[in-house]
Amino acid sequence: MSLQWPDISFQDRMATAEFRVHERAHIVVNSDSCNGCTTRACVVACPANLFIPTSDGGIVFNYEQCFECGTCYMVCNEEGAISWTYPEGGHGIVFHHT
Amino acid sequence: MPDFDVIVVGAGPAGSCAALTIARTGKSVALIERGPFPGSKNMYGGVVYPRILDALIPEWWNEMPVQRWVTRRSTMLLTDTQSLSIDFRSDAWGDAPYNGATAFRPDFDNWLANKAVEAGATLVCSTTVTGLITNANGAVIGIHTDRPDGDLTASVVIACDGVNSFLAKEHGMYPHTDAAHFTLGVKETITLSKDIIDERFAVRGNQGVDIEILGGTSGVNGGGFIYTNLDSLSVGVVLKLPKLAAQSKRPEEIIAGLKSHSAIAPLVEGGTVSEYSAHLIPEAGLKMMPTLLDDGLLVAGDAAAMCLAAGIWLEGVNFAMASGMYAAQAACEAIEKGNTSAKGLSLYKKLLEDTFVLRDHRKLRRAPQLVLSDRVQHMYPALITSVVQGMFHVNNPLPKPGLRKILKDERRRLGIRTIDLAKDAITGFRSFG
Amino acid sequence: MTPIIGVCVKWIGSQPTSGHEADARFAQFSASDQAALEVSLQRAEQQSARVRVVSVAPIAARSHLVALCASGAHELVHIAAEGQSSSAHVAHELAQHLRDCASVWCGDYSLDRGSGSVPAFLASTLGAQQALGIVGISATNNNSLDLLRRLDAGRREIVRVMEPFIISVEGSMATLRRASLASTLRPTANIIEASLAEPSTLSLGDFSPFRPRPRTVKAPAGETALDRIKAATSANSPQKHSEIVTLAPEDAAQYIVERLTEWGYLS
Repeated sequence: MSLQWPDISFQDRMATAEFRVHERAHIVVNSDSCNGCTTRACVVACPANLFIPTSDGGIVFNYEQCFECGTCYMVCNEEGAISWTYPEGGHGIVFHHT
Repeated sequence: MPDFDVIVVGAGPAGSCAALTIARTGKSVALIERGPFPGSKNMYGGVVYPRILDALIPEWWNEMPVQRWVTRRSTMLLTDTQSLSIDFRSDAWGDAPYNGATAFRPDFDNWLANKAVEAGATLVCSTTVTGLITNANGAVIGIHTDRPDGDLTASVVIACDGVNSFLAKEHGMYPHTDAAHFTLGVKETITLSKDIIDERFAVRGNQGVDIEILGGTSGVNGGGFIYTNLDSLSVGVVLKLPKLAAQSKRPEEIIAGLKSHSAIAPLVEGGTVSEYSAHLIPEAGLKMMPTLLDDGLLVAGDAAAMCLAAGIWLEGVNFAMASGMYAAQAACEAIEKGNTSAKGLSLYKKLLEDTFVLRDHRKLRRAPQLVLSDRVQHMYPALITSVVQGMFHVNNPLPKPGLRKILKDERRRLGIRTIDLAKDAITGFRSFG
Repeated sequence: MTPIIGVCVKWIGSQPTSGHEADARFAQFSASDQAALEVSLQRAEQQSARVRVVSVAPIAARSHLVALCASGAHELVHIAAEGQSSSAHVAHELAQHLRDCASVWCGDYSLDRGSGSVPAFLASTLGAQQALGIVGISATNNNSLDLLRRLDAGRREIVRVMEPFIISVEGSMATLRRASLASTLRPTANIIEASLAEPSTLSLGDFSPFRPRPRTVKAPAGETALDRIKAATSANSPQKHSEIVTLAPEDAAQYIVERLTEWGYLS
C-alpha cells in the first residue's frame, strides 16, 4: 500500500459508537472449550475486539462495547464455547449515522 | 382471542413494511423492536433502492430521509498498486421518481416504522423477543419477550428479526447455518464538509456517488465500498467470515488498508471518523435461505437471508421491504380465510416467486459464490488491471503488443487456467447475462 | 385522601457526550432520575400512595415520558415547553403540580451537568426541607425520613427530613424496574397536559459578579530603574509584619477603612 494512513486509536474508534450497557453480560464464553482451541477466530474477527487471549490458553471477553453482529459465535469452531443472546431490550449498541 | 391479529418482530424495513401493510387492512398489529427506537440496531453499506415503496407510500421521495440521490455508480478493481474504474452517471437518477439513495438506517427505519404507526400499528420499543410460543401441534401462536408478563399472542407471527434470526433458528427454519454464508460488514462514517465531497466526487447539490470495490481488502475475500452522504462518507469493507477468521488482520486494519490505497486515500483523507460500526450480512442468497413459512409463522428480510450480494448488485433493504409486504399480504389473507397454517399462508411463497424477490435470487443463485471465489477475488483483478496496463503502457521503441498477446502472457504469468476462466465466464454469463 | 409522591425528571434532548445534535431519538433520562422514580414507586407501595411524574419538556419528549411512566407511575404531568427556561421558572412551574405532595424526589445528577438549582428553588417555593446526594434510606418514621447522605472522601452522614421534603437521590440508590409488556402496550398513567407559563415579570434584576474598576497607582519614585522596582516592590524597606491593634468596634471599623484607603483599596 502506497500511503500511510494516520489511524485513530482503537479506543477512540470505539468511543464514536454509543453503547447503553446493561449489567447482564449477553456474551458468555466457556473458557474450558477455549483451552483446546488453536484457531482463536473470535480474537481476530470480532470488530469490537472484545476477545482477548490469556497466557494460560483461555479467553477473556468483554461484552460492553458489542455491536451485536454475531461474528464471534459464527466463526467459533468449538460448539457452544460462545453463548450469545441479544442484550436486554433498550440496551446495547445504538447506531446514529449508519 | 389472541392479543393481536399479527405480531411483527423487528422494526427494520421488512417489519415496518409488514406492519404498515397489515395496519392498512384494519387488522391489529404489534411491531416489537429491541432497540430504543427503530433503526438503532441497524447498519448497512449505505444505499437503499426504494422503488417497491411505490406500492405502499406514493411519492415516498418527498418525505423519505435521504442523504443524497445516487447519480453516479463506480465499480472499481484494486490491486496493491493499480486501480481500474468503470464509472456511470445518470442525470435521470437525480430526479423523481429516482433510483437509489444514500440514507442512514436510524433515520430511514425510524421513518418507515412511523408510517406503520400512523397507519395504526402498535410499536413497542426496547423489548427483546426471546422466543416463540407454540401450541400442542407446534403451530406458532405468540412470542415471549424479556419484559415482565412479557408474553403476547397473535394469529400470525412475522419474524423480521434480522440476520441472526434466533426465532427462525429456534423454530428449525434453518437446517444448518454455515459461517461461509455470511460476511461481516464494517464501516466508518467519515465526516467531511459537503463542499469537499462535492468537489472530490464531482457531484452537486443532493447528487451522490456509489463506489463498489473489488480488491483492497488485504487479501480477505470480500469487497469494499464508499458512499457519499450529505456531509460524510460511508467507507467500509465486507469480509467473508471463514477467510477473515483464517488470517491475522483485524477488520479495522483492513479498512485502514483500503483507506491508504493510492486510489482511495485522496477521496477520504482529512475526514474525521465520526462513527465506527459493524453488522453481519447474509451473503449466500438462495443457497442459505431458510424455510420461509410454517404454521402461524412467516420469515422475512435478513432473517430469511433476503439480501442480494451479487457483485455489481448489492441490495438488501428493497428485498426486505418487499418480503415484509408480501408476508403481510399472506398473513392478512390467511386470517380472513381463517386458516393460518403453513398451507393458509402459502400466498407468501407465491408472491415471492412471482416477483423480483425470489426471481432475482434464483437467477443470481450462483453469483455470490462466484463473486467471493478466490479467482474472482484475487486473480481476475490482477489479470484485468495488468492487461489494461499492458495496453496503455508506452514501451517505445518496442511496438504496441496485441491485446490477445497481453492477455495470454498475463494469464500465463498469473497461472490462470483456460478451463477455469471459461467455467467462470459461463457462470458469470448465466448469472448476469 | 390518597397521598401523592412527586417525582421530577429532567429532559435532555440527547446525550451531550455523543457529539451529535440534540435528537429525541437518542434521549435518555439520567440514572439518578430513574432511581428517584424507583424509590418513589417503592414508597408508594408501602404507603398506598400514588406516584406523579412531573417534567418540563418539549412535545417530542412525550413518548419517552410515557415509556418512563409505564414502570408504574400513576400520573404524568407534562408541562410542554420548547427551548431553555431559567431554573427558577422551571421550579415555579413544577411547583404548581407538586403542592399536594408530601414528598418530592429528584435525580441528583443530570446528563447535561446542570447546576442542580431546580430542586433548591422547588424547596424554597414549596417551603419544603431539602436533602441532596442521598444514597439510601436508613429509617422510615411517621412523617420523617432518616436518609443516608454521601459526603466527600467516602464518608456518610444521616440526615433527618420532615415532610414536606424534597430529596435528590444518586443513581446508585436503585435501578428502575422494567415496565411490563402490558403497561408498555397500553400506558395506564393518567396524563395531565400543561404548558409552560410566561416567566413572571417580577424579577430580582440582573446579577453579575462585583468587579472593582481599575485604579491608578502613582509611579514609584527613584533615579534608576532598579530603584523604582525596589520602591514598587518595597524590597529595601523593613518588612512590616502584622500588627495587633485593640480597639472599640467603631474605632476598629474606622481603622480598617483608613488602612484600606491608605493601601489604595478604597478611595
